[in-house]
Amino acid sequence: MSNLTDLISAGGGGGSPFPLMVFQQSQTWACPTAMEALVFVIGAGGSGAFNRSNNTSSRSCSGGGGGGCVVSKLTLAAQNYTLTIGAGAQYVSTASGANGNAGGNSAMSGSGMTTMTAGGGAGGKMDSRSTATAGGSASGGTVMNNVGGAIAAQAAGQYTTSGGGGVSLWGGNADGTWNTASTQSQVGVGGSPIGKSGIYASNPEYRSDSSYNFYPNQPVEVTPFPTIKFYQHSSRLAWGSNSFNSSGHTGFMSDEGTNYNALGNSPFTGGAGVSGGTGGAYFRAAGGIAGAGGGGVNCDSSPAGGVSGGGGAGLIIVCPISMGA
Amino acid sequence: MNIYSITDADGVWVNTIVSTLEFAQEEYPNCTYAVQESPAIPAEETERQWRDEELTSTDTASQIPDWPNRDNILSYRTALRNWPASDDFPATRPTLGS
Repeated sequence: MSNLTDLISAGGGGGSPFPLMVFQQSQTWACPTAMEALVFVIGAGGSGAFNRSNNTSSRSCSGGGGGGCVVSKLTLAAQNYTLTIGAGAQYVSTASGANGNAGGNSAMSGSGMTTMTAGGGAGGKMDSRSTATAGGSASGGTVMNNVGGAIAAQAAGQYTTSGGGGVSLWGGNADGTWNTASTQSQVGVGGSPIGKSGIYASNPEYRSDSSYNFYPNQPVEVTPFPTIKFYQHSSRLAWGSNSFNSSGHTGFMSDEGTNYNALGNSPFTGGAGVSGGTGGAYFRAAGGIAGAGGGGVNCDSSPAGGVSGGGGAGLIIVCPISMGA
Repeated sequence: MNIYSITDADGVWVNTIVSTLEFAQEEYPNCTYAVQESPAIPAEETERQWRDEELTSTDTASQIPDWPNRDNILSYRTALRNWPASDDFPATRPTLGS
């Protein structure tokens, strides 16, 4: 046996037996030992747009694009590598509304390897009638170069909004989904890292209402990297006594009095968008986590305010396959 | 460790990264490095949110006849409701008398 993997496999083990290394800050990384590894470089998510105007019926408001995902199988040496981590885009909250912001680019480079670059997702658009919101680019991967989840252009409609793009871990469709119902307080589902499926019907209403009803066709989610978790806590009313972790929701609506909050996204899943409305309420879209784009908010001029979802920060994941010479 | 928004000599955005200033300067030489702060939430929004929370937290007290200081609480709730339409909004919060 030449390495630890052989040793463990011989004992009946399966899959990668090693802890993941997850980098969330730019740095010069001194790889501690020679290893063969799968490396994921993920760009940051863009933030959703926030449309707050009198002419919502003539606009469609998108979430931010997901970051690109570059995957390489590398033989790493015990040497320095440069890791650049893109920052998630800032959310938008202004009196008149605004387009979202772009996420930053992530990259890994070093002697003996092709530089891997995962672009950040574009910012959501206040008016997406003729303009799509792009996912982040992807280049330099020896295994996969997956562009981030995008949001297609969408015909205008009152309260039409979308979730953010997800991180396309498997090269599938991680695009954010539009909610086109002319109804406030609904969710535009964010893109899934494992690809869209048939259950993402149009006009979903994944919502916890006062009667604790459970709506049909709730989406399933996976935890692509089981050791990567996300913990969300808030002191806000209605969801203040609850905490949500990465067990996963593709964004559902929580009522807080007259306010409406989309929350609970898993890592790599685009933040849910919120269709806003009237009545002096606040409308808050979910942020993207781990490279995913944030959701958009589309409401008219009378709500007290709101905020779009910010983009998830980029990250680099090193999954060792074998160690030692 | 901060979030740096990096622009080149022509003012064109290059990248926004999570890093130290030293890392940003080394990887993106001859650029401008601005620490990115979270955008401020408008005072109207944060103050209205505080107002809503105050109304919720005093809701029970307002409905129980012998609750201590109830009269002042009722006045306080009226002031809270009227506050957004007043000239004092959002600069001066209503106060609860004792």
